[in-house]
Amino acid sequence: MRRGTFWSWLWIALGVIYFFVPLVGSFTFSLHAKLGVLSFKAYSDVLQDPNFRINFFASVAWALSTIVIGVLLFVPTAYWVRLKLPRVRPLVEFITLLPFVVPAIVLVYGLVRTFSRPPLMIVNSPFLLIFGYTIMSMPYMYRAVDTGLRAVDVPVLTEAAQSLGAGWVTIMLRVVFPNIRVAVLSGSFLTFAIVMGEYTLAQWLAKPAFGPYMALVALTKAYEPSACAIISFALTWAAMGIMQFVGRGAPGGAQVAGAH
Amino acid sequence: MPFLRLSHLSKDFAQTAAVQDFNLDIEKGELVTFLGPSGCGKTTTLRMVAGFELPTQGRVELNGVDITTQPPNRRNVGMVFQSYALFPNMTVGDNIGFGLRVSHRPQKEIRERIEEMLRTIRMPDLSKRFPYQLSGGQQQRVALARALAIKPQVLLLDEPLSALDAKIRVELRFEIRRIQRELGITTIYVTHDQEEALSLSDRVVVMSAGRIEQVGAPFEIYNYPATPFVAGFVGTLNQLRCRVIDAARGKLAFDGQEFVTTTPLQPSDTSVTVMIRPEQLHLGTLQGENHLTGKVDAVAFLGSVVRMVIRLGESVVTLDVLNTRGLALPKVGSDVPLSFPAQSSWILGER
Repeated sequence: MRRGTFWSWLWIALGVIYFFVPLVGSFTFSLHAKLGVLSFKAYSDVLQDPNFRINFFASVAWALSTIVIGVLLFVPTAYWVRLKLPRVRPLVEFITLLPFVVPAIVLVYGLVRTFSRPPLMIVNSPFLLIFGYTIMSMPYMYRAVDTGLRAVDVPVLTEAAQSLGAGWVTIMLRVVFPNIRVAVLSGSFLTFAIVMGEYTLAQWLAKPAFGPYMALVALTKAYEPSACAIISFALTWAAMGIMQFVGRGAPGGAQVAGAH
Repeated sequence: MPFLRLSHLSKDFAQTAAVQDFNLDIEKGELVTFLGPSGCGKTTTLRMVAGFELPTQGRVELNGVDITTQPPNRRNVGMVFQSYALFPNMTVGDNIGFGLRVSHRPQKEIRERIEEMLRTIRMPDLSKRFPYQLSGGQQQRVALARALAIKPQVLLLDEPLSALDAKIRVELRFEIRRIQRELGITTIYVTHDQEEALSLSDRVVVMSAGRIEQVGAPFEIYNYPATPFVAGFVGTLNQLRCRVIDAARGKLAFDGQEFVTTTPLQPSDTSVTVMIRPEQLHLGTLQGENHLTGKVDAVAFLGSVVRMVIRLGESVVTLDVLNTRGLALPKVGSDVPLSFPAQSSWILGER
């Protein structure tokens, strides 16, 4: 084995240990719910808890709504910026990165302050939570879509479609969307993963969600929080796996996690 | 009334004028080429016809209708792009049928039209392929079929062959002309390649710096350039700065050597620039022609033609000789005699 190869493998090994040891630890710990034997008792307890189901499926609903709104909002925006407003791209990119700079707690405080008084009293509406999530997922969704658009010659394809008689809706549905399908999917799954684990917004807007549920379980139970953590990990990985699978062999190339 | 009329078209981008006072009438079925260096405004003019650019001034009239402000998707104008611009998510057949699907034509008609177009571009079996499975030349054929499938009133081609290699380029050039003639479709072709423009067009519009320099048939443009720009841009041209010795008898001096021209001259003892094409000059001393002597500076074998650069004092002239198997190429540095007929030279602006 060459010296360079040895060091490469060593760093990979260290990385894998750093990442997997806590995971394996959590997993083995979660199997010890029954004294003296290894069992999936913690998992069955979690899955049978009606609160788990309520909160889990609430989060799924939030995530799907966020994805729909995000796609409808960011795909046309990114498209339009690329096509007609290339000069404002730096500004738009800066705005899309704001959620990385503004902590969730500041965001939720601002949302509550603004929308708990007229003219828009929607603090109790689930839409406030979904819009909040849309903002939080913006860096991932927007950048994934933008990366996807970069891979196709958007202005020329648009002009080609126009010269063939297509209007804007046709261009969006038949030309733009199909060619950035993988990028949109990748943004969607990242959004899904983020929303499923989100805590701050759901907690402060007092809505059922998987994040606050896990936090609550962590305070009151011993083995179940580990089981929850593993479930949520599995979910994220499944999302990534689907993303890779769908992206395979798509024309224009797959770019998973185009966000960074 | 011409089929397509462009009158006083101008386009400014920020402070710069891309196109200025462009006037042109195009008849039905004609193939007109816009020829010029990059940045001369030829593509901008084409895009104003397509509807992708709004003219700052002027009008575009198609078949008697003012379409200056009509959006591109209402004009029924087919466009072929340099980068092919095929939809990567669609098969060849779907690409060709796109325009017909958009206008909700019946399925049967769409299918038949796709097959007809595939036959026209001589790719009948490739309907199910995706663009990335085709060569550049094939992709551009499909792009042409797609633009023609909607039976456009005008076909616009924006440097369609620039991205292809030399051999395919020549092949496809004749293919485009054949299809254009067969369908009798009015066509505007943008190119910076003079050979393409000359070999393809009914008329050539030579442009420079946003203005029309000359409009004419290829033969006219090449043999009777109207401006110094056209003379310099289209083909290779020897420009000899000569002194008039005897205007009445057409006698001129170049590099101390005398010759005659049939072109009317200005009064004696003035300076004029005399033009002569490289193919009009030949090696040797032919009876009844002008004779000059020079030194061979360079010899370039181009295949069908041998191009030589001959030094005459301070200046050089280019000379083309048709290749033959028995041709004896002169050595670089040797002295050679040249001759050319008196009527082959001309002075710009004279006809």
